[in-house]
Amino acid sequence: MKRSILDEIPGSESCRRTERRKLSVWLEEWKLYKALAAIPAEVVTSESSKPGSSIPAESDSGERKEAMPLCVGQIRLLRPVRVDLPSLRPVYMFLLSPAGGDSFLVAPFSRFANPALPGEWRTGLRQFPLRVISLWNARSVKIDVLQASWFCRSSPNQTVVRALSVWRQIQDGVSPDDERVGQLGPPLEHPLDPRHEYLQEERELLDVHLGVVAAEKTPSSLVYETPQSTVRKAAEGREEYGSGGGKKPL
Amino acid sequence: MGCVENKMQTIEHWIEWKDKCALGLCREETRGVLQEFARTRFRRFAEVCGNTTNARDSHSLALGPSEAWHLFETYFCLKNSREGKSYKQWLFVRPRVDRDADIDSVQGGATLLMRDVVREWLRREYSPRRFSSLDASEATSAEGPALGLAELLPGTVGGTTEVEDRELASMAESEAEGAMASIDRRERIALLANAMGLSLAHPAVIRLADCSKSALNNAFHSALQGLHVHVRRRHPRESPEVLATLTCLTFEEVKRRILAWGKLEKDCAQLSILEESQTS
Repeated sequence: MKRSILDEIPGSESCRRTERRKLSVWLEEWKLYKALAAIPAEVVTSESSKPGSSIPAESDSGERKEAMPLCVGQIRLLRPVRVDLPSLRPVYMFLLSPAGGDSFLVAPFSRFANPALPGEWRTGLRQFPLRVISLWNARSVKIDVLQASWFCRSSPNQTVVRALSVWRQIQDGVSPDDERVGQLGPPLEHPLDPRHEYLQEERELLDVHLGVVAAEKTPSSLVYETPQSTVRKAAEGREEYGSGGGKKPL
Repeated sequence: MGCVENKMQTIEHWIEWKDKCALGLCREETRGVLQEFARTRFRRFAEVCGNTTNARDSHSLALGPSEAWHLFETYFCLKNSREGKSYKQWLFVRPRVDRDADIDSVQGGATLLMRDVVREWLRREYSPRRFSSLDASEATSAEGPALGLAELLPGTVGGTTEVEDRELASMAESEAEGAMASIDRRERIALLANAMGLSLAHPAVIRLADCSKSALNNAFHSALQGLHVHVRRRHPRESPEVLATLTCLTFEEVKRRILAWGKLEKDCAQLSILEESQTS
């Protein structure tokens, strides 16, 4: 979509129309999300399947902890939790900067293709789960929590710098740079805006993943253990993924 | 694919897929079974959402087994490497409910992932602009018609002068004062936590509100709805444009007052500590 100079002037009618267009696009995604989340799981999962054997010992992130130390610019996938939330999904985090001696400032990626708020930034990354980052939901997270996550990939330094600059603008309450406005979501002003619900869902989802809010069925959900499963724990030996058996050097 | 329909999915099929990296490298039986899984999940989700799109008929919402699987397998792939496919690990270590078999857990996770796959497909295939206008209603209101985008994001009220803008701001202050009087303590805590960027499910917030998570959520939405209704009732003759602007200004003023209230309430001090610790 071509942007005109009028789009840049805050408060102008042209700018408002641009913001409304952004909101309209995001709300369409939200409507689809709500419709899909409302489908009861049993409607979808009632197909024939048989238990068979259990999951054998499988590769885990334990060895990756040593192989891939945490550093800024990494994208990591948080451990799954057992919780009945409509927003449940794999949560990918972006390591933005160190935050004190034993923490990193991290922000989750949004599940949507379009930014919902001025605190969400379109990253320009092609991969579906990485298109938008929710900087408004950035947290300082202890290293030991992050170490349990899976390293997925690294991002260019430029992406980190840009994300941090947007995050600082949010923290300082200043307007974003002109060049950045088009990559951010529209403001949230009305009390009946559906995005209030989105914000609450996303905060809760992250709280649950970071252990702030207890997941359901704890403590089993924290130790990944079931009577039928033989899934290994992080400290146990493991096979290399995709290798059919061989060990990968640490 | 006739023989595939009689085959039941087992955890071995999923394990084979995980071990081989891509379904294309798996045995024919595994390929057939998992592709069929993807096809049926995709179809069920897409059909339910069909009426929210401008799809002409349900046939256009169905994909073939290999196409459905391809979308599933590539959506969460961040890089063509072991690390880039960490979603597979995610699927296989999902915590189980006590009686779940491994197959249920993996399939349940895969079904969750498929939701996002279908949403993205519908979004791309049925472009929002083809079935939504900027004036479409987006939020429901207990009183009066549903709200449109122009109300959710009102502009400057047409032709207002600086004096009129000041008058609107002053009206908003007065409305906020009236609204605050009818916002009870539970609602205040919900609004406060929200304004501070805290989840309403946070144990400290729930303890402070002394109620369940769902009761606090209800209080939050009831407070937001109450604000909207309050302004509408007090100004029944104003245009939707003015009402929307006034409601937004009032909401902003209420948030300011709630934060000020939170600072004065001793019990709420812990929320400020939480707020600071979230990003420092």
